[in-house]
Amino acid sequence: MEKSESSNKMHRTEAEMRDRISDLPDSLLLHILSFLPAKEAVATSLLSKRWRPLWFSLPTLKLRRQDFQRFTFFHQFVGKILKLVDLKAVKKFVFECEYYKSRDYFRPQKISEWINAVILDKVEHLELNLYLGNNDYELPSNIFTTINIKVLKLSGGVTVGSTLSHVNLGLLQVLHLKLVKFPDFRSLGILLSGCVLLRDLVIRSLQVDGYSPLDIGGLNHLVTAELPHSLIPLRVLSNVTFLRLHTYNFTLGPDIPTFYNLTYLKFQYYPHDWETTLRLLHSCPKLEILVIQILCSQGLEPTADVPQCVSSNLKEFHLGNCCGKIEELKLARYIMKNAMVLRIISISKNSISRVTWKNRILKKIPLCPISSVNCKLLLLNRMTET
Amino acid sequence: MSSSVEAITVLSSDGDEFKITVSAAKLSKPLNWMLEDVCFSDDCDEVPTIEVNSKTLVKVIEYCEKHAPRANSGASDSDAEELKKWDIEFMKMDVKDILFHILMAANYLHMEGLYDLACQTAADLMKGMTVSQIRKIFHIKNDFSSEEQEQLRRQHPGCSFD
Repeated sequence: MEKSESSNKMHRTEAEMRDRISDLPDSLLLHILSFLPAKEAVATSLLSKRWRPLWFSLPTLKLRRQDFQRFTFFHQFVGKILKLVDLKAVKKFVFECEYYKSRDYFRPQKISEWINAVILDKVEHLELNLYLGNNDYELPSNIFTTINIKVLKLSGGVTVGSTLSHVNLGLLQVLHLKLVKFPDFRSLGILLSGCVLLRDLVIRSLQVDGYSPLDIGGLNHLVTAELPHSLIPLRVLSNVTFLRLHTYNFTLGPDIPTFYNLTYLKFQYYPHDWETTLRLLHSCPKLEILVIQILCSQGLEPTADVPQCVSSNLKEFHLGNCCGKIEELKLARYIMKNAMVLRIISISKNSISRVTWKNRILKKIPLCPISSVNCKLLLLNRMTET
Repeated sequence: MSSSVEAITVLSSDGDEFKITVSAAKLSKPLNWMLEDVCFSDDCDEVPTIEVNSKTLVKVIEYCEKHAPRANSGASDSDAEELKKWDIEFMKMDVKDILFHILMAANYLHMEGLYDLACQTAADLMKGMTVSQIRKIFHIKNDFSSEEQEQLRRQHPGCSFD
C-alpha cells in the first residue's frame, strides 16, 4: 500500500515536471506572446531552442518606452526589431512613447519610417500613443489610405499636418482620436466620411481651430460613439447603442432623432433647462443605463413628466461630480421614485465639496423611498469609470 | 435537431458523459456545427465524443454556461464587470496541469473568448519574469550549449539568462 502511494507520488511529480507549454503549436505560443510587450516577447527566445525562432513571426508588436530604463535602449530596440521581424506577420502594431525628456529625441522622420514599414505589410491594428513634449508628431498622410486597417487609435501630440483630400479606410471599424490636432474641420469631415464601416468612434480633446458642426452622413454601422456633443448632427448617430456626449453648450436643436437602439447614454449636464434633457430621454425608448456628470446643476428641475424609458427600462442610473446641491437631490429622488425596474443607483461626489455632500446626500438620500424592489444604492467618494 | 432540445450530451475523451445546454454549446464553432448537422434528440443513440479529458471538459462547460447568457443577448456594463471578475477567479488554476489543457481545448473547440483568456493568463505568468524564472514556472529545459548561450548573450545584451 505504502509502496504504491509513493510510486503514485513519483509519477505525479514527473507529470508535473513535464514541459507542456513547449508542446503547444506555434500559433498558440505566438498568441500567448502577443499579450506581452515586445521586449518581453523577444526575451522568450532565450528560453530554449523551441522558443528561439518564434519572435521573428510575432503577430503583435507592442513597443513601449516604459519597458526600457533608458531612451537610447528603446530607440535601438525599435530600430533593430523592425529590421529583424517578419513584418508580413505583424497584424497589430502599438507604439507608445509617453515619458518625454528633452534629450530623449526621436527624429519624426524615423517614426514615420517605422510606421510606413508596418502599414505597408497588412497591419490591421495601429495604435500610436505619443507625447513628445512641445514637438507634435505629424502623421504620414498615407495612414489615411491604408485599406487593410481595421483599428486605428491615435493619442497624444499627434497632428494631421496638411488638409486631407483623400481618405480610403474602407475596412476601418474602430477609430479613436484623443488629443489629435487637425488643420481644419473639413479634414475631420473627410476622414469620417471615408470610414464607411466604422463601428466604434471616440473623439476626445479634439484640437482644431474654429468650430463648425460637420455635416456628414452615412455612419450607418456605428454602434459606439463618444464625442463632443455638437460635432456631428445627432441624426448621423441615431443607430448607436452606446453614446457618450461631451458637452460644451447643450443646445440640441429642434430635430432630435429617435435612438431606437440606444441602451447606454452618458452626458455632462451644463446649465440648461430640464426640458432639453427630457426631450433627449423621450427619444431613447430602450435606454437601460443613464450616466449624468454634473458640470453645473443650474436649471435641473425635474418635472412630473416621466419618459417611458425611465419608468419601464432604466436599470442603472449614475450621477457623477455632485457637490450636494438641492437640484442634485431632486434629480436623484425623481429617478428613485419613477424608475420602476432600477437595479443600481450611484451618486458620486466631486473632489471638493464636503459639508453639503454630507448633509444633503449622505444624510437624506438613504431615507428617500425607492420604487424598484432589489435596487442597490451606492454613495461614492469618487466616480468609477462607467 | 428539434428546437425543443435544451441540453445535449457529449462524451469526454475519458468516456465520461457530460450535459451541456444548447446555448452554451453555441460558444464553440465545432459544437455549433454538430448541433446543426447531427441529431441530438432522445431517439438518437450516438453520443459525440469531444477530444478533451473529463477534468478539462468540466471547466470548459463551466465557462460556456457562465458566458452563454451574455453572448446570446446584450448585457450591461456592470454585468461585463462582474463577468471579468468571474474570469479572473476561473483562471486561478494549476498552471502545470489544467491551464495547458484549457489552452489546447479552447484552440480545438474554436472558443475565441476562452482562448484569449487562457493565453492572457499564460502571458501574465511570464510578465515581469526573468528567463530563468519563466523556465522554472513552466519547467522549460534550457537546451542551449554553453557556446550558443554565449553567442545569445552577445546578441541580447539587455536580457539576462539568470
